[in-house]
Amino acid sequence: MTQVWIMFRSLTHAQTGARLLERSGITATVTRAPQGANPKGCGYAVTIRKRVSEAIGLLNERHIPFGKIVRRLESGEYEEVRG
Amino acid sequence: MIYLDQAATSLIKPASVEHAVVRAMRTMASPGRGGHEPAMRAAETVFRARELAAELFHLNGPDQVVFTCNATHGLNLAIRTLVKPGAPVVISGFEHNSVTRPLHALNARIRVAGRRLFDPESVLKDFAEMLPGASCTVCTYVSNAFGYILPIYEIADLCRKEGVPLIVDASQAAGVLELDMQRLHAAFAAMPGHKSLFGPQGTGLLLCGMTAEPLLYGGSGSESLEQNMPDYLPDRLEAGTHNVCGIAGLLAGMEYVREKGSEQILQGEKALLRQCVEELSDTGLQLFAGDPSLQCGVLSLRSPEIDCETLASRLAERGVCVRSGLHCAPFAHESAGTLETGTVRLSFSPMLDAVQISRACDILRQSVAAG
Repeated sequence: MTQVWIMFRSLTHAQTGARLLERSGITATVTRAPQGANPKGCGYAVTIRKRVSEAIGLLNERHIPFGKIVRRLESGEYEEVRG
Repeated sequence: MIYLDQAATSLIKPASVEHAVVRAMRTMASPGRGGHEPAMRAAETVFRARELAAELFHLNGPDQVVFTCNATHGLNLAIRTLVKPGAPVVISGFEHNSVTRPLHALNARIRVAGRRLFDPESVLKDFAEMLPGASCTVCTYVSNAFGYILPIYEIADLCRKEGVPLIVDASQAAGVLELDMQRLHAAFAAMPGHKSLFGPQGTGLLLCGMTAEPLLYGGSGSESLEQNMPDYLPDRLEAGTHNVCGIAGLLAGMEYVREKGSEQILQGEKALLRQCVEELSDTGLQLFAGDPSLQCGVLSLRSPEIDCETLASRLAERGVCVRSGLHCAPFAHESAGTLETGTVRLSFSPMLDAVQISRACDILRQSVAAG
């Protein structure tokens, strides 16, 4: 599957989310949010490539707040995706 | 040198703390401000420190851990959030100026509960009487002047029953006594990083059971287009560049505490305190020693003949580091009846051993005998 970015308002929330996913066996990396994907300016994201629905379920279950989930189009733009 | 001033700061630290500070200085940039390797290395270190603090103090998540400059900073954040100008506030009779001065600045109507040293029942009785109608309670867990352990969990229960939010000053307790935020249901607990958590000076933690109002406004590395501070923790309270070197050292210090165990640290310090009490019992000094279950970390004393500053100076000349005076806690000294004289305070750490304590007691005995 292609890479998706799970957006977070806070670096700490992104790190908390990434830690949770890693402990559940989902490879997750904290990174800067792609430009244009975050309407409020600077932010961080967690990138994953697999088990997106499961990842979203885990984040919701643990009440870790996250924002949009996006993937990159060939045009370079980002499109929101659903888990 | 025999360092007996742990209650002011932990001068003698695990070697890992120094190594962590130097490593951070050499390899870490600013967390939350970039995606490059040095920034992300810093971010990971800061996050690990939050995680470990959340584990040590039983918080729901690392976002409830806010880094501050010291305990005073954390207490100011908490007090400014919960106390409106002129509001009624209950405090114990053993509070530090880091609590009483912010309350004074807000013109809070202060009710003082429990002014008898080593008497937890009187504290609880007073709190039960004074809590109704209060807007907030601020209570130290351990008196910095006398080592008196206040019954903080019972006070927390009383606060919960009355619906009064509780701020805990854990300055002398963190790293030594169990501090369980789940059990306390405290609104906030503030602590320094540089005392019994063994971090560098300039570090502190505010544990948050709720969100708070910022004291500082500025960059947080998040939502930069917004002119309001973020409405979520920890970003809301952490404007400006983090003290990454300090936090890295604090992480190493907390790892030391976790490895050694707070209970072992507590029992070790209590044993040294009791040794002091026994070895000084025939010196004519007035020792402020309570039931061993009610005291930790600190032994205050004074001489009927020699003033505290003179006695502390004599000790310093011979390499024994103590603190004399009022210890920024005039309320506590007023409660104990020592406001006029102050005391000489000996405070203990796991870096000390029984041989050093015996040596310090000998020097103290000689200093008193010199008249």
